[in-house]
Amino acid sequence: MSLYYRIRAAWDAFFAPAHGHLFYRKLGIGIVLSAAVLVLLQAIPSRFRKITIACFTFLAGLYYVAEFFIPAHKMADGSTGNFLTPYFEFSGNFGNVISGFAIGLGVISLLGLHFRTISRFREGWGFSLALVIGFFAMTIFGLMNQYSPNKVVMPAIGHFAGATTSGDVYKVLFNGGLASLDSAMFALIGFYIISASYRAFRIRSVEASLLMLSALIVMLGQVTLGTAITNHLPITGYWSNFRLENMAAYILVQINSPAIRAVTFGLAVGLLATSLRLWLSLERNAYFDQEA
Amino acid sequence: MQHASDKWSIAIFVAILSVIIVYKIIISVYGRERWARLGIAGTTAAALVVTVYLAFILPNGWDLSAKLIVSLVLAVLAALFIARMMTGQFTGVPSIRRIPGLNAIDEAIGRATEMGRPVLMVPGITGLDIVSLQALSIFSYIAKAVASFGNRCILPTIDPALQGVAEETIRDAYQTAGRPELFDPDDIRYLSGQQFAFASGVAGIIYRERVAASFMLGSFFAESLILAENGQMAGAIQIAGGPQTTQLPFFIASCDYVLLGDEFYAASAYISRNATLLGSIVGQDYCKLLMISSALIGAICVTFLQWHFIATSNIGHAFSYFVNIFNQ
Repeated sequence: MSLYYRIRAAWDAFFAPAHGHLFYRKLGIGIVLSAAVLVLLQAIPSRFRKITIACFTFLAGLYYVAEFFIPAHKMADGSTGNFLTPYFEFSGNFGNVISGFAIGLGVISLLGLHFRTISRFREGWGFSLALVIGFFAMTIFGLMNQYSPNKVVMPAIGHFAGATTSGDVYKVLFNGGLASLDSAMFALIGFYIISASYRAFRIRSVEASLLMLSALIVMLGQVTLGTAITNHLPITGYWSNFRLENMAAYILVQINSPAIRAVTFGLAVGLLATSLRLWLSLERNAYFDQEA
Repeated sequence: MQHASDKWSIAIFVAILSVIIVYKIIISVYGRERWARLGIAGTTAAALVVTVYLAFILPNGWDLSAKLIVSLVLAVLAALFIARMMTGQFTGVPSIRRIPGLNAIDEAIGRATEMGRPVLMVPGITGLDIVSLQALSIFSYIAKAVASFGNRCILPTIDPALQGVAEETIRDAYQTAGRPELFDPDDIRYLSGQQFAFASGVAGIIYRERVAASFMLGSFFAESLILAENGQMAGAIQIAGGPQTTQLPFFIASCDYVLLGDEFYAASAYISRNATLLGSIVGQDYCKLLMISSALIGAICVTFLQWHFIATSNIGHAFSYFVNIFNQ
């Protein structure tokens, strides 16, 4: 058996699902190896750190680029791909692991900030207290809802109220609290649109007048009132072009869409350029001191 | 490999990759001497020869699969960027048109410093991706300027991974400006992973901290108007930009300056005036020129194909072939 296949077999065996003692053994090996890699990375001299980061960035991006460019063929399981495609999920798991650690760091940072605010009675400490209480309430009742949703947290109060379970409390917190507050914030957008439009649509110049006129036509064309205004015009024929809904559609499809498409072209090209600059570590000034 | 097109994809990809690697090695080891430029030009020519040779050893036939077209287009665009980036170091700094939103950054920071109020920077509501990294690179420059004026900047994030990167970026900015003592890690905050919880948190920061300048650069969605209007009501000077075309109208209505389209991606090059980055902007313009030319040629082809006598002629077949390339 060639060296490649032996390494491949060992790799597959290590990452195969495991249970019981084998699982904990593999977990321990993984933690020890990760710690060793971290220690080695910390030990790199500072003058080699930039090149190390650049190499890792390049290799990480190279997998996805190579997986795209290398031709695909029919695989043994019937799917289409190349020799890199089976490792797509595996490489994505790196990002999931980092996100998992990052969530922990984010929670520590968030709670640390607000605990400091509460302990020092800084301005707005009441809001920090509300956040901390809400955070722990949601965490505790969320976990209880997941593992024991029928656990009674408050007994029945005679005939006044039935027993309250952890699932009931979670529903109140989630549906009554989080979802309602989300909806309230979303609803505020309607009022903000009115105030922003009132400020923005002023007849100051020719361009502003054109903007206001086209906005008026498009807005009226979207509502039944606008349709009713020009309802007396025929549906077909030359005069149908002056129906408000048709004028609105013309502005949106023939004038607005090409402009949006042009902006999108520029964005796509810019995104490609920025991605290449980051992949090849050419974005120097923000993340590195000077270009090599 | 089943098709001729597959080998083309490989050949082009290998050619570009080899040019990049050889360029980086030559520049890092030998600098930008004249003979190094000749080496790079020679390598590029050799890569082109290899590409054409690999193409000609293919079996006959020109199978234009959709994958090949995407690969070719990507390869050509990437080659234009990279070529212009490389030559940017030798040809000098190209001139870029004035972008009002970016020129107003110094004005906004100066205003905030005069009023003694902090600067707010919001990197969007997506996690650690290209858009937020681009936003962070712009914020790095802003933070350097803020630090040099002795002011404070606040950066709330929706993603904890982004918070870690942002904290290091802003810390380095303060250090580079020579004011590390002014950096407060509590100013780089992870607020929440929920869209509207994040928006309400930022709105609260705008009012409590009474920010005088607000930079909203990155991916924004429904919460864009909430953030922009709250900043407007607080009296902050606002500069916004991002890749979401659907949010541009809201930013234009509420903000003082807006970076439209790829001005957001050009910002780091515009601010730094780095020759390589500016070269990539020129490369982007070449790519857009190529796209516009393709669209114009396609429009002409489709227009002429309306006439039967052209559609059935040889030139009509050529027009039809060109149009069908982009219809795969």
